[in-house]
Amino acid sequence: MVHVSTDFLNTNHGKIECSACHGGDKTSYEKEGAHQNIIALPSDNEATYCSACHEDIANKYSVSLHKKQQGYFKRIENRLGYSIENDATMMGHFDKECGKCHVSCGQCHVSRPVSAKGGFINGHNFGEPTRDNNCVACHGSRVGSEYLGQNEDYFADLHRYKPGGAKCTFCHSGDEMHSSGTEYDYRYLDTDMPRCENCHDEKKDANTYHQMHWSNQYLPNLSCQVCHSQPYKNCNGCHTGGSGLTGSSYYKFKIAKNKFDLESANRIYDYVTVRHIPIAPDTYASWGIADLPNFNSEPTWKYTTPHNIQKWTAQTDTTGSFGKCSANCHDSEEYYLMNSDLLDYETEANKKIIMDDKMPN
Amino acid sequence: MKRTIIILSLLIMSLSFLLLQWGCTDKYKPAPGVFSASEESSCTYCHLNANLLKDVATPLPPPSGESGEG
Repeated sequence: MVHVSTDFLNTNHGKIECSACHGGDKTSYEKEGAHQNIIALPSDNEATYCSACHEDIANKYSVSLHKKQQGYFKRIENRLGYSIENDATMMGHFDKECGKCHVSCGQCHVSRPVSAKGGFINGHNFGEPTRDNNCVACHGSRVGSEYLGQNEDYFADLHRYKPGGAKCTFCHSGDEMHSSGTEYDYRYLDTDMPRCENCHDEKKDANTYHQMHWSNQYLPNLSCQVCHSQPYKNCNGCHTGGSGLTGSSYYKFKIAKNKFDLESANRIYDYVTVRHIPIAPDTYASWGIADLPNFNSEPTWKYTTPHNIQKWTAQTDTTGSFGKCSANCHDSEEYYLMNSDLLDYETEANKKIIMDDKMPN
Repeated sequence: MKRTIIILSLLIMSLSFLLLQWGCTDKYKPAPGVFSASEESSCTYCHLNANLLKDVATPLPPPSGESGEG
């Protein structure tokens, strides 16, 4: 709802005339007239409406992934062979289906995001984004559900119960959300993203498993999630007009080779957790793209950092196996992404990351 | 006679004044609908009124399956 509280009128933003940001016709007494040429989301244009007072953040935000969605464009470009950014027809489809995930300043600091149907959070007062109305409103079906323990049979992320852990900002900083001015085309390249090591580096040698899989330069390095994640949701249907994959999501835990070119972000793990993304050669058929010529240029299982961390997981639980993890990780293919996990058309795209030739012994 | 002329002149002047006044008055009268803002600012009149907004809000469509990023 777009109900403005009287408190708002006493704030700095509330002292600015409504029409200065929202346009419209302030002299009209009728809804239709008053809303003529209304600017519902002025901060979509942060350079005009925000930067006069918030210049630094507005400038940095102008290149952020939240605004530009460059990750989406880059993945489409890689698979399609050309950029759709100058193609008005394709951009029309993109804006209608993928562009809903773009957010402006106001969609985090004033209202819920448009993709969650909007509505003021606190009577138009500006404030820090809230977990449920902002972050989880967009990032809910996977990491939100994981973190909050909403996936049946699986526990919430243990960080949720730490002091301050109820908020996403416990780990995710403003610099990461706004960007610190560097433009990325893949979110995991953003060096402002939180890392487990930032808080837990002193645990590097805390036990044999950490010594072998984390801090030993002669043995393969594992991302923390490889041992400390529970199964997570994998996507199996996209919302591009009904074409492409249309299945339901499913829970799996899969480890694969880290061939995701993340060295510049110091994500130099040898093995990482991967999540299925719902891309197929005909995903954009409803946009008029019958096939993706470079479909195999990127894996369809992508590096992921599930938000369901537990100290004790099926991987770290060595009870019943004489204190060895061999029974859980070294003698079974279950946790690894194998060729047999792939759909026919996915084989080539994932050949660099599957574990068929790298099963640990 | 002089008195009649004065009275007639005053009457004509009064009528002219009334006609001019009527002609220059803003003929727009807010329609008596729910959005009539009368003398107040049209933005805040409606947007500070939660009950009014509830009455005129367009219901949201039902959510459509899983979506979102990450």
